[in-house]
Amino acid sequence: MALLDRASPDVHDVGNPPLANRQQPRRYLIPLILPAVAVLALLSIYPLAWLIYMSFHQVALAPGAPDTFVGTANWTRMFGNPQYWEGWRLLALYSGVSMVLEVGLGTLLAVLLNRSKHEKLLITVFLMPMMVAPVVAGLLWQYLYNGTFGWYFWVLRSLGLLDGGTILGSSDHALWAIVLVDVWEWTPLVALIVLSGLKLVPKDQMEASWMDGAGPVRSFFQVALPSIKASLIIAVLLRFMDNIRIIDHFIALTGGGPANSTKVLPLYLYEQSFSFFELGYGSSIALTLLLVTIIVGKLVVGVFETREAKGPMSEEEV
Amino acid sequence: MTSSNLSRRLILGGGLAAGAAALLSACSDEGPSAASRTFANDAERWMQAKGTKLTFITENTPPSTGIKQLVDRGDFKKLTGIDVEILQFDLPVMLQKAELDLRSGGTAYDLLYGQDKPVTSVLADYFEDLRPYTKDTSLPQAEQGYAEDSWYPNYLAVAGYAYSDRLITLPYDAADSVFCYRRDLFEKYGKQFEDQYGYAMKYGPETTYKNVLDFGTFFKKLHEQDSTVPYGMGLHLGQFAWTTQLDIQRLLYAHGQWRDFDIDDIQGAKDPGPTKWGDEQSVLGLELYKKLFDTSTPDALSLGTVEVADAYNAGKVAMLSQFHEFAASFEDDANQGGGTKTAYDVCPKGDPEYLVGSGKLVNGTNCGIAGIGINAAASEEQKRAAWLFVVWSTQVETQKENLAISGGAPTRVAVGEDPKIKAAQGKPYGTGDTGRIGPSDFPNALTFPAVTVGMGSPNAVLGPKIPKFNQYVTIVGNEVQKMCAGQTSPEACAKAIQTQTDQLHGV
Repeated sequence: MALLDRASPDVHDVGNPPLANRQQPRRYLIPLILPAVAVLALLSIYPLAWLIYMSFHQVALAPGAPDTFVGTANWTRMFGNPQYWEGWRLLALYSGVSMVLEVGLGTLLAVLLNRSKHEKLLITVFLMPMMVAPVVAGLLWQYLYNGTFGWYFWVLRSLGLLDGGTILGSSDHALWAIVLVDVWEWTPLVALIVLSGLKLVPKDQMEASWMDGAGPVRSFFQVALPSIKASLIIAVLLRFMDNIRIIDHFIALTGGGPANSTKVLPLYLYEQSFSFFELGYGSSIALTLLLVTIIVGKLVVGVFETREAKGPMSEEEV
Repeated sequence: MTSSNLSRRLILGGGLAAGAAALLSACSDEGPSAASRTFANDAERWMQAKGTKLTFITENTPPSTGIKQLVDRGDFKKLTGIDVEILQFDLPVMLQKAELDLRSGGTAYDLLYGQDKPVTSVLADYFEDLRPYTKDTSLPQAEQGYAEDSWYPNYLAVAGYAYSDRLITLPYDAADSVFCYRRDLFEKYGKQFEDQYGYAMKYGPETTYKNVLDFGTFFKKLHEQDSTVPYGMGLHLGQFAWTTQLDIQRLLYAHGQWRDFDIDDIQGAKDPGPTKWGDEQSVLGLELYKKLFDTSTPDALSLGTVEVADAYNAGKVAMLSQFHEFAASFEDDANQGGGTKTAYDVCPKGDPEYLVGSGKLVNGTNCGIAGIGINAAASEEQKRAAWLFVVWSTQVETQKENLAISGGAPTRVAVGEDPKIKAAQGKPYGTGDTGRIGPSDFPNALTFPAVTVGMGSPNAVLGPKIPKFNQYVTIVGNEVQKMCAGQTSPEACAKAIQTQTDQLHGV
C-alpha cells in the first residue's frame, strides 16, 4: 500500500512529481551547475567586467604599468564624436539593406531549389561563396571592382552604368559595393536555412492547397511561409549578429574610405583599439555595440518565442 | 658571538658585495655586456652568437624581400651561424604586431623594422640605444662606419633619432619621392601644348606645381577627345592615409617650406603644440591640390600608393610623384610607361602664385626612411646577436646584392658610387641635371640623382615625428578625401584638420 501510495502520483499525475522527487534536484543544483557557471564566468563575465573596467580607464599595455582612472571621459568623448554616430548610421544602413536582400533572395533561391531535380548539386555550387573566408572574398572583389583592371568595373563602364565614375573610389557607391559582396557571400546561408524549413512543410497541406486551386505563389504565402517562419527568424538573427560586427570586407575593400563613407562602427572600433591602441575608448564603443546586439537579438528571439507560444498562425493572420 | 655566526655574516656580506659589484658592472655604460670578450679575428667575431635564432618583423618592401632571399640563400648563416626568421607584413599589420609586443614588454621580435614616422615616432622608447654597440670592439662593425655622410642625405637623421640622442635604428631601406612622367607623351604632344600654353612642355628642377597643373589640365582635355591618352596627375588618395599626408605635405613644403607643426623635424616632439593647418598657406595649398585632383582619373579616390602605380603602368595617368623604389616596376617593358618611356626627376617646385608671404620656393621632397633596430626588452645575448644582423643588413656589400636581387632602395651612399651602379643611373634627360631615363641594369638607380638632390637641403621635409602620428595622418587623409570628393571646401578642410589635430594634442 505504501508502495502504491508512493507510486500513484507518478502514475496518475504525471505533471506533479512527488515532493521528495521535486526537492531532490535542488540539493544537487549548486554543485552540479557550479563548474559550468565557473567556466561561463571565466569565458564571458570576466572579459565583460574587464571591458567595463577599461571603458573608465586609460589603459596601459605594459605589464605592471598602472591604468589611469578617467571617469566618464571615454564615454563623453564617444557620445560627442560625430564619427561614432556616423558609424552607427552606416552600420544600420549596411546591416538593414544586406539583411533584407539576403533574406529575400535566399528565400527565393530556397523555393527554386526545393523543386529542382538537381537540388544537391546546385546547393553545393551556391554554397561556394560561403566557404570563402570573408577577408579573401573582400580581396577577390577588390580585384573585380578595381578601376584599372577590374572585370566588373570594365563591364559596368562598358554598359554605361558608371558614366566615367568609379566603384570603390566613390562615396556614393562604395557602401553599396560592399553590400553586394555580403549578399553574394551570405545569401546561400539563408537559402540553406530556409530550404531546411521548407522540407518540414507538411505535404498534405500543400496538396490540399493545390487541390483548392491555389497557385504556387498563394500556396507559398498561405501554407509554406507560416511553416518556415522559425527558419527565417533564425536566418535574420544569424545575419544580424554577423553584420553588426563585420569588418573583414570593409578592411579589404575600402579601409573605411573614401572620406569615411564606409567607416561602419565596428571598423571605427577596430581602428581606435588596434591601430591607435586607445583601448579604454575602444571599450566604451564595444560596450554600446554589445548592448545593441543583445537588445536587438533579444527582440528577435522574443518575436520567435511569442510566435511559438501562440502556435500555428491563424488563417486571418496569414 | 660564536665563530659560526661571524662566518655566516662574512659569507652574507661577501655575497651582497659580489651582488652589488655585478649590478654596478651591469649598469655601467661601457656598452653591451660581454664587451670584454676577445676574438682572434673578424670571422670569429661574426661567429660569436652561433646557434642563436632571431626573429625580424618587417614591412613587405622590396628591400626586405631581397634581404629575405639573401637570408634564405644562407648568406647570413654562413657568416654568423645564426638563423633569422623574417616576418613580412603590410605596414599597418606590422605596426600592430610590433606595438602589441613592444608595449607589453614582449620579446617575440628581436629585430624591428622602424619606418621613421609611423613606427619609431610611436615606439621610440622601446628600441635599444645602438650607440654602445657601434663602439664595442668585441662586435663586428660596418667598414663604412655610421657617420651621417656615409648614408644618403638625411637618412640617418630621419631613421636614427626620435625625441633624444639615442641612436635607435640604422637606415635599412628608403622610399623617397621623385617625379615620374611619360616623357614619350611630353615629346609627342609638346608642340600642341606649347601652342596652347605658350611655353615648352618640358620637366626639370625649375618646373613648378603650376606648370604641372597645366600639364595635367592639358592631358585631361586630350583624354576627353581620345580615351587612349592618359589623364593628368596621379595622386595618393586611397586607403593608406600616411601617403596621402605625404602627397599633400611635399606640395605644401614646396611653398615657403610650410610644415605641419613648429617642431624640430629630426628630434620630433612628444608634445607638438598647435598645428599650422588652417593658416592661409595651407588653404592655398589645398586649393592647388584639389585642382590637381581634378586633372586625375575619376577613380583617384580609390588609388593608394600601390594602386596609383598600377594606374600609371596601365596608362591611366601621365605623371605622378612616386616613391623611388617603384622605378623597377615602371621600367618593365610590359607596362605603358615601361621600356624607357618614363623619365625621373626631382619633385616639382613651389609656384609664386600659390605662395603666401615671402618664403622660399623649393622642390618639396619627403620620404619614409626605415631603419632596423633592436628590441630593448630582448636578452643581452639576443641583442648582441641582433646587432650582427643590423650591421650585415645595412652594409654596402649586402645592399649591392640586395639591389641586384630585388631592385631595392639602398641607404648607403657607397652603393650609388659603385661604378656599375653609377653607370645604371641612366642618361641625363630634361632641362636640369637630375632627370634620368633608362635603359638601366638597376632601374631604381635611375632615380638616385633626383633622390640625392631632393633629399638634401633645402628640399627635404623630414617630419613630423609625433607620438600620435598615425592618428594625425588619419585625420589628414580623411579630410583631404572629403575635400577631393567635393564634400568640403579647401578652407573647411584645413580648419577641420586643425580642429581635430589640436584636439588630439590637447591644445
